[in-house]
Amino acid sequence: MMRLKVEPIGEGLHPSETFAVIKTKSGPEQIAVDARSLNNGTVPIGWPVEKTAGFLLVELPRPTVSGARRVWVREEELIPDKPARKTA
Amino acid sequence: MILTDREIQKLLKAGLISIEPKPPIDAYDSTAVDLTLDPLIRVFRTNVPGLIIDPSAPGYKAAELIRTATDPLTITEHGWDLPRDTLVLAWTKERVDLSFKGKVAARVEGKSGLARIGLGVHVTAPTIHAGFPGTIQLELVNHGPLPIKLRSGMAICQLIIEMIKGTPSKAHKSQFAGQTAR
Repeated sequence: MMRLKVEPIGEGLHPSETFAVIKTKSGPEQIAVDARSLNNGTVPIGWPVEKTAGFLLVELPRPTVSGARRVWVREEELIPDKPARKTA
Repeated sequence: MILTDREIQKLLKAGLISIEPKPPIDAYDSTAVDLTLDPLIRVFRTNVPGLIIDPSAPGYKAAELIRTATDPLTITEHGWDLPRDTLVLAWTKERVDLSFKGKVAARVEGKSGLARIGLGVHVTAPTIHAGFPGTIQLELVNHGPLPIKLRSGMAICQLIIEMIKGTPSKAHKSQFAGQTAR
């Protein structure tokens, strides 16, 4: 699966949340993300659901503050989500 | 198909979904599990002169509006009285992770004992989508005639977990197998 790059911009409405900005085809969008899901400035988004020239349609873990659930992002905004290695 | 308590516990045990902290056995009933109230709530100010919420306005940002129109409040050991006809935002103490591996979605619903005194726990937005990670935000409204005391840790809502049929697009690997975006 893949992770979406986000830019944390501050605390959310609750300590369990962080506000972040994502870069979408139509411009920056703010989103409250689960703070524990945030890892190195990325959040998990599963697999993209559609693809067009240079852009991927991704479904966000939660809607953006403007209510968008699926957004188009540039391919370079996604990175592979490496599965956690099992430890003994 | 709604999962029974035993099926929910099987998914938890298998690590296919998670609820942390783990609900005690008496938090379950046959087809749901109770979640509890986090002490931090956000209370809407009633005296914001000139503020009218216009959700259709270009650039409307719900979270910024909520931040400017509410104050955080931590419920103490004495509890906090929710006045009648009042909306506050609240969260569950539990963090829920509905991993795609579990093939489930959920709904958060009120508890009948609280409903009968007028307490609603969501405003027409009960769906917890497959893949959701996080604490669950609640919209508490006192529709009743009297104040209702909220206490941190009280059983505030119930989570009803349902099987989903098929695999959502975002969990379907094959169409983007070999994706190499960086």
